[in-house]
Amino acid sequence: MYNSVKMKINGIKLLSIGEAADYLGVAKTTLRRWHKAGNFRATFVSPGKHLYYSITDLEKKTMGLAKSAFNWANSNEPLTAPADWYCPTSDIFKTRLERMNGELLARPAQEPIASLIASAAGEIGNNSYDHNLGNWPDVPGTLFSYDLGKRVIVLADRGVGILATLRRIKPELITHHEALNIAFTKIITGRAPEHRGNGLKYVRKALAQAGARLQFQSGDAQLKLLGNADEDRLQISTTDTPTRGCFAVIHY
Amino acid sequence: MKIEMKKFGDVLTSRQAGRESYAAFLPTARDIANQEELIIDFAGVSVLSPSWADEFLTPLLEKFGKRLKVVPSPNPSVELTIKTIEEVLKKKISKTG
Repeated sequence: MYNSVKMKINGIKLLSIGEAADYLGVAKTTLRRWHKAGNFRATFVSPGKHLYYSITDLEKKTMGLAKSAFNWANSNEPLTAPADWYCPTSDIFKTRLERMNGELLARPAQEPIASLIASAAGEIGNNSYDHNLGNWPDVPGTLFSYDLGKRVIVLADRGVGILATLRRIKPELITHHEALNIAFTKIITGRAPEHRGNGLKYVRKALAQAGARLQFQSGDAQLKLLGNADEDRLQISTTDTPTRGCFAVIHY
Repeated sequence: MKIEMKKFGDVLTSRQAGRESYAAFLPTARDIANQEELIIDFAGVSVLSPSWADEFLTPLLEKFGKRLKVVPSPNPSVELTIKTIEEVLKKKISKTG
Protein backbone atom coordinates (compact mmCIF):
# COMPACT_ATOMS: atom_id res chain seq x y z
CA MET A 1 0.00 0.00 0.00
CA TYR A 2 2.88 2.33 0.74
CA ASN A 3 5.18 1.22 -2.04
CA SER A 4 5.31 4.77 -3.24
CA VAL A 5 7.65 5.64 -0.36
CA LYS A 6 10.70 7.38 -1.73
CA MET A 7 12.08 8.97 1.40
CA LYS A 8 14.71 6.98 3.28
CA ILE A 9 16.81 8.04 6.26
CA ASN A 10 19.50 5.68 7.58
CA GLY A 11 17.87 2.89 5.61
CA ILE A 12 14.46 3.45 7.24
CA LYS A 13 11.59 4.03 4.83
CA LEU A 14 9.55 7.08 5.68
CA LEU A 15 5.99 8.04 4.84
CA SER A 16 4.89 11.55 3.99
CA ILE A 17 2.49 13.25 6.40
CA GLY A 18 -0.41 12.54 4.02
CA GLU A 19 0.42 8.83 3.88
CA ALA A 20 0.93 8.72 7.66
CA ALA A 21 -2.42 10.45 8.20
CA ASP A 22 -4.08 7.81 5.99
CA TYR A 23 -2.30 5.05 7.90
CA LEU A 24 -3.58 6.29 11.25
CA GLY A 25 -6.94 7.45 9.98
CA VAL A 26 -6.45 11.01 11.20
CA ALA A 27 -6.18 14.39 9.52
CA LYS A 28 -2.82 15.86 8.53
CA THR A 29 -3.60 18.80 10.82
CA THR A 30 -3.95 16.35 13.73
CA LEU A 31 -0.50 14.91 13.06
CA ARG A 32 0.95 18.44 12.90
CA ARG A 33 -0.73 19.30 16.20
CA TRP A 34 0.59 16.12 17.87
CA HIS A 35 4.07 16.89 16.58
CA LYS A 36 3.95 20.45 17.86
CA ALA A 37 2.59 19.37 21.27
CA GLY A 38 5.29 16.70 21.53
CA ASN A 39 2.96 13.76 22.23
CA PHE A 40 3.63 12.10 18.88
CA ARG A 41 6.57 13.55 17.03
CA ALA A 42 7.44 12.96 13.41
CA THR A 43 10.29 10.51 12.83
CA PHE A 44 12.10 13.02 10.62
CA VAL A 45 11.68 16.70 9.82
CA SER A 46 13.17 17.79 6.52
CA PRO A 47 15.06 21.08 6.15
CA GLY A 48 11.90 22.38 4.46
CA LYS A 49 9.94 21.53 7.68
CA HIS A 50 8.04 18.64 6.06
CA LEU A 51 7.14 15.87 8.52
CA TYR A 52 7.94 12.21 7.79
CA TYR A 53 6.99 9.08 9.72
CA SER A 54 8.43 5.58 9.89
CA ILE A 55 6.08 2.59 9.77
CA THR A 56 7.54 1.44 13.11
CA ASP A 57 6.54 4.70 14.81
CA LEU A 58 3.08 4.54 13.31
CA GLU A 59 2.67 0.94 14.45
CA LYS A 60 3.67 1.96 17.96
CA LYS A 61 0.94 4.55 17.88
CA THR A 62 -1.72 2.17 16.62
CA MET A 63 -0.82 -0.99 18.45
CA GLY A 64 0.03 0.50 21.77
CA LEU A 65 3.03 -0.18 23.94
CA ALA A 66 2.08 -3.70 24.97
CA LYS A 67 1.41 -5.08 21.53
CA SER A 68 4.52 -3.49 20.09
CA ALA A 69 6.68 -4.98 22.88
CA PHE A 70 5.01 -8.38 22.54
CA ASN A 71 5.74 -8.41 18.83
CA TRP A 72 9.36 -7.45 19.44
CA ALA A 73 9.77 -10.21 22.03
CA ASN A 74 8.13 -12.92 19.95
CA SER A 75 8.99 -12.39 16.30
CA ASN A 76 10.88 -15.33 14.81
CA GLU A 77 13.52 -13.06 13.34
CA PRO A 78 14.53 -10.24 15.71
CA LEU A 79 12.88 -6.94 14.79
CA THR A 80 14.69 -3.65 15.05
CA ALA A 81 14.04 -2.49 18.60
CA PRO A 82 12.70 1.04 19.08
CA ALA A 83 15.75 2.95 20.35
CA ASP A 84 13.72 4.91 22.90
CA TRP A 85 12.69 1.75 24.71
CA TYR A 86 15.38 -0.83 24.05
CA CYS A 87 17.84 -1.36 26.89
CA PRO A 88 20.58 -3.68 25.63
CA THR A 89 22.42 -3.62 28.96
CA SER A 90 21.42 -3.41 32.62
CA ASP A 91 23.22 -0.05 32.93
CA ILE A 92 20.92 1.47 30.33
CA PHE A 93 17.90 -0.11 32.01
CA LYS A 94 19.03 1.38 35.35
CA THR A 95 19.32 4.87 33.86
CA ARG A 96 15.85 4.65 32.30
CA LEU A 97 14.32 3.24 35.47
CA GLU A 98 15.75 6.19 37.39
CA ARG A 99 14.26 8.54 34.82
CA MET A 100 10.86 6.86 35.09
CA ASN A 101 11.00 7.09 38.87
CA GLY A 102 11.70 10.82 38.57
CA GLU A 103 8.72 11.20 36.26
CA LEU A 104 6.48 9.24 38.68
CA LEU A 105 7.57 11.43 41.58
CA ALA A 106 6.77 14.54 39.55
CA ARG A 107 3.10 13.46 39.33
CA PRO A 108 1.44 14.23 42.68
CA ALA A 109 -1.29 11.59 42.19
CA GLN A 110 1.28 8.87 41.52
CA GLU A 111 3.95 9.93 44.02
CA PRO A 112 2.64 7.85 46.99
CA ILE A 113 2.98 4.57 45.07
CA ALA A 114 6.02 5.58 42.97
CA SER A 115 8.55 3.60 45.00
CA LEU A 116 6.45 0.41 44.86
CA ILE A 117 5.83 0.71 41.12
CA ALA A 118 9.45 1.57 40.29
CA SER A 119 10.86 -1.18 42.51
CA ALA A 120 8.49 -3.78 40.99
CA ALA A 121 9.45 -2.69 37.46
CA GLY A 122 13.10 -2.76 38.55
CA GLU A 123 12.82 -6.32 39.85
CA ILE A 124 11.15 -7.57 36.66
CA GLY A 125 13.65 -5.80 34.40
CA ASN A 126 16.73 -6.73 36.40
CA ASN A 127 15.60 -10.37 36.50
CA SER A 128 15.90 -10.39 32.72
CA TYR A 129 19.58 -9.43 32.88
CA ASP A 130 20.48 -11.52 35.94
CA HIS A 131 18.97 -14.73 34.61
CA ASN A 132 20.02 -14.44 30.97
CA LEU A 133 23.58 -13.17 31.26
CA GLY A 134 25.66 -15.29 28.90
CA ASN A 135 22.53 -17.18 27.77
CA TRP A 136 20.58 -14.74 25.60
CA PRO A 137 19.20 -16.85 22.71
CA ASP A 138 19.61 -14.02 20.20
CA VAL A 139 19.02 -10.39 21.16
CA PRO A 140 20.17 -9.34 24.65
CA GLY A 141 18.34 -6.89 26.85
CA THR A 142 14.82 -5.68 27.50
CA LEU A 143 12.23 -3.51 25.90
CA PHE A 144 11.11 -1.16 28.66
CA SER A 145 8.34 1.23 27.70
CA TYR A 146 5.82 3.21 29.66
CA ASP A 147 3.10 5.78 29.38
CA LEU A 148 2.61 7.37 32.78
CA GLY A 149 -0.35 9.36 31.46
CA LYS A 150 -2.13 6.08 30.77
CA ARG A 151 -0.52 4.49 33.87
CA VAL A 152 0.96 1.56 31.98
CA ILE A 153 4.47 0.04 32.06
CA VAL A 154 5.63 -2.72 29.72
CA LEU A 155 8.71 -4.94 30.04
CA ALA A 156 9.67 -7.66 27.58
CA ASP A 157 12.73 -9.76 26.82
CA ARG A 158 13.82 -12.45 24.37
CA GLY A 159 15.49 -14.50 27.10
CA VAL A 160 15.11 -18.11 28.20
CA GLY A 161 12.02 -17.54 30.37
CA ILE A 162 11.07 -18.47 33.92
CA LEU A 163 10.85 -22.27 33.46
CA ALA A 164 14.39 -22.64 32.09
CA THR A 165 15.70 -20.31 34.81
CA LEU A 166 14.04 -22.15 37.70
CA ARG A 167 14.98 -25.57 36.31
CA ARG A 168 18.58 -24.73 37.15
CA ILE A 169 17.67 -25.06 40.82
CA LYS A 170 14.47 -27.13 40.51
CA PRO A 171 15.11 -29.64 37.68
CA GLU A 172 11.86 -31.44 38.43
CA LEU A 173 9.79 -28.56 37.01
CA ILE A 174 8.01 -29.42 33.76
CA THR A 175 5.47 -26.76 32.82
CA HIS A 176 5.57 -22.98 32.49
CA HIS A 177 2.45 -22.91 34.66
CA GLU A 178 4.26 -24.60 37.59
CA ALA A 179 7.30 -22.38 37.12
CA LEU A 180 5.26 -19.17 37.17
CA ASN A 181 3.37 -20.31 40.25
CA ILE A 182 6.61 -21.05 42.13
CA ALA A 183 8.26 -17.82 40.99
CA PHE A 184 5.38 -15.72 42.34
CA THR A 185 4.43 -17.68 45.46
CA LYS A 186 7.22 -19.84 46.95
CA ILE A 187 10.37 -18.71 48.73
CA ILE A 188 13.37 -20.34 47.05
CA THR A 189 16.37 -21.06 49.26
CA GLY A 190 18.44 -23.20 46.92
CA ARG A 191 21.27 -20.76 46.31
CA ALA A 192 22.25 -19.66 49.78
CA PRO A 193 23.91 -17.39 50.71
CA GLU A 194 22.57 -15.65 47.62
CA HIS A 195 18.81 -15.82 47.17
CA ARG A 196 18.01 -15.40 43.51
CA GLY A 197 14.54 -16.22 42.36
CA ASN A 198 12.61 -14.37 45.03
CA GLY A 199 12.14 -11.03 43.28
CA LEU A 200 8.78 -11.87 41.72
CA LYS A 201 7.23 -12.61 45.11
CA TYR A 202 8.19 -9.06 46.06
CA VAL A 203 6.66 -7.81 42.78
CA ARG A 204 3.38 -9.49 43.69
CA LYS A 205 3.27 -7.86 47.12
CA ALA A 206 4.46 -4.44 45.96
CA LEU A 207 1.90 -4.25 43.16
CA ALA A 208 -0.92 -5.48 45.42
CA GLN A 209 0.05 -2.79 47.96
CA ALA A 210 0.03 -0.18 45.18
CA GLY A 211 -3.36 -1.39 43.92
CA ALA A 212 -1.75 -2.18 40.56
CA ARG A 213 -2.62 -4.93 38.09
CA LEU A 214 -0.03 -7.19 36.48
CA GLN A 215 -0.12 -9.40 33.44
CA PHE A 216 3.01 -11.57 33.31
CA GLN A 217 3.66 -14.15 30.65
CA SER A 218 6.43 -16.70 30.21
CA GLY A 219 6.13 -19.56 27.73
CA ASP A 220 2.47 -20.56 27.43
CA ALA A 221 1.60 -19.52 30.99
CA GLN A 222 -0.02 -16.21 31.73
CA LEU A 223 -0.40 -14.84 35.22
CA LYS A 224 -2.72 -12.06 36.29
CA LEU A 225 -2.61 -10.11 39.50
CA LEU A 226 -5.89 -8.41 40.08
CA GLY A 227 -4.76 -5.14 41.59
CA ASN A 228 -6.61 -5.32 44.86
CA ALA A 229 -4.61 -3.93 47.76
CA ASP A 230 -6.48 -6.14 50.22
CA GLU A 231 -6.03 -9.31 48.27
CA ASP A 232 -2.95 -10.29 46.29
CA ARG A 233 -4.67 -13.18 44.56
CA LEU A 234 -3.23 -14.42 41.32
CA GLN A 235 -4.66 -16.34 38.41
CA ILE A 236 -2.53 -18.46 36.08
CA SER A 237 -3.93 -19.70 32.78
CA THR A 238 -2.60 -21.18 29.54
CA THR A 239 -2.44 -18.93 26.52
CA ASP A 240 -2.38 -19.92 22.85
CA THR A 241 0.08 -17.10 22.08
CA PRO A 242 3.23 -18.22 23.93
CA THR A 243 6.11 -15.83 24.55
CA ARG A 244 9.82 -16.55 24.15
CA GLY A 245 11.16 -14.98 27.32
CA CYS A 246 9.18 -12.85 29.73
CA PHE A 247 6.51 -10.27 28.98
CA ALA A 248 4.97 -8.06 31.65
CA VAL A 249 2.38 -5.30 31.63
CA ILE A 250 1.75 -3.26 34.77
CA HIS A 251 -1.42 -1.14 34.99
CA TYR A 252 -1.57 1.03 38.07
CA MET B 1 28.54 3.47 63.02
CA LYS B 2 25.70 4.77 60.87
CA ILE B 3 25.60 4.32 57.07
CA GLU B 4 23.56 6.76 55.03
CA MET B 5 22.37 4.57 52.20
CA LYS B 6 21.52 7.53 49.97
CA LYS B 7 25.27 7.83 49.40
CA PHE B 8 25.00 4.68 47.27
CA GLY B 9 22.24 6.23 45.12
CA ASP B 10 18.55 7.02 45.38
CA VAL B 11 17.31 4.12 43.20
CA LEU B 12 18.82 0.90 44.59
CA THR B 13 17.43 -1.95 42.50
CA SER B 14 19.86 -4.28 40.75
CA ARG B 15 22.03 -7.13 42.04
CA GLN B 16 25.00 -5.75 40.15
CA ALA B 17 24.69 -2.34 41.85
CA GLY B 18 24.13 -4.04 45.24
CA ARG B 19 27.31 -6.10 44.80
CA GLU B 20 29.31 -3.02 43.82
CA SER B 21 28.01 -1.09 46.83
CA TYR B 22 28.86 -3.97 49.16
CA ALA B 23 32.37 -4.22 47.73
CA ALA B 24 32.82 -0.47 48.20
CA PHE B 25 31.61 -0.64 51.80
CA LEU B 26 33.54 -3.77 52.82
CA PRO B 27 36.81 -2.01 53.82
CA THR B 28 34.80 0.28 56.15
CA ALA B 29 32.88 -2.69 57.58
CA ARG B 30 36.16 -4.40 58.44
CA ASP B 31 37.18 -1.40 60.57
CA ILE B 32 34.04 -1.53 62.74
CA ALA B 33 34.90 -2.55 66.30
CA ASN B 34 33.69 -5.93 67.60
CA GLN B 35 31.00 -4.54 69.90
CA GLU B 36 29.97 -1.61 67.73
CA GLU B 37 26.52 -1.44 66.10
CA LEU B 38 26.06 -0.90 62.38
CA ILE B 39 23.05 1.38 61.78
CA ILE B 40 21.59 1.30 58.25
CA ASP B 41 19.59 4.42 57.35
CA PHE B 42 17.61 4.54 54.11
CA ALA B 43 16.52 8.18 54.53
CA GLY B 44 16.74 9.88 51.13
CA VAL B 45 16.54 6.59 49.21
CA SER B 46 13.66 6.74 46.77
CA VAL B 47 13.47 3.10 45.62
CA LEU B 48 14.85 -0.10 47.15
CA SER B 49 14.31 -3.64 45.87
CA PRO B 50 15.13 -7.10 47.29
CA SER B 51 17.76 -7.86 44.61
CA TRP B 52 19.90 -4.89 45.68
CA ALA B 53 19.25 -5.49 49.36
CA ASP B 54 20.11 -9.20 49.10
CA GLU B 55 23.54 -8.33 47.72
CA PHE B 56 24.21 -5.67 50.34
CA LEU B 57 22.25 -6.45 53.50
CA THR B 58 22.37 -10.26 53.50
CA PRO B 59 26.16 -10.55 53.73
CA LEU B 60 26.28 -7.73 56.31
CA LEU B 61 23.64 -9.53 58.38
CA GLU B 62 25.82 -12.63 58.32
CA LYS B 63 28.79 -10.58 59.55
CA PHE B 64 27.06 -8.40 62.12
CA GLY B 65 23.98 -10.38 63.19
CA LYS B 66 21.97 -8.46 65.78
CA ARG B 67 24.54 -5.64 65.79
CA LEU B 68 23.08 -4.60 62.42
CA LYS B 69 20.06 -2.35 62.87
CA VAL B 70 17.86 -0.65 60.31
CA VAL B 71 16.27 2.76 60.88
CA PRO B 72 12.50 2.38 60.23
CA SER B 73 11.60 4.09 56.96
CA PRO B 74 8.29 5.56 55.75
CA ASN B 75 9.22 4.59 52.18
CA PRO B 76 6.94 1.67 51.15
CA SER B 77 9.58 -0.02 48.96
CA VAL B 78 12.14 0.08 51.79
CA GLU B 79 9.66 -1.28 54.30
CA LEU B 80 8.45 -4.08 51.99
CA THR B 81 11.99 -5.00 50.90
CA ILE B 82 13.13 -5.39 54.51
CA LYS B 83 10.10 -7.61 55.21
CA THR B 84 10.89 -9.68 52.09
CA ILE B 85 14.53 -10.16 53.13
CA GLU B 86 13.36 -11.22 56.60
CA GLU B 87 11.00 -13.73 55.03
CA VAL B 88 13.66 -15.20 52.74
CA LEU B 89 16.29 -15.41 55.52
CA LYS B 90 13.70 -16.52 58.07
CA LYS B 91 15.07 -14.06 60.61
CA LYS B 92 14.09 -10.66 61.99
CA ILE B 93 16.26 -7.68 61.23
CA SER B 94 16.75 -5.44 64.28
CA LYS B 95 15.31 -1.91 64.10
CA THR B 96 16.44 1.23 65.87
CA GLY B 97 14.17 3.10 68.27
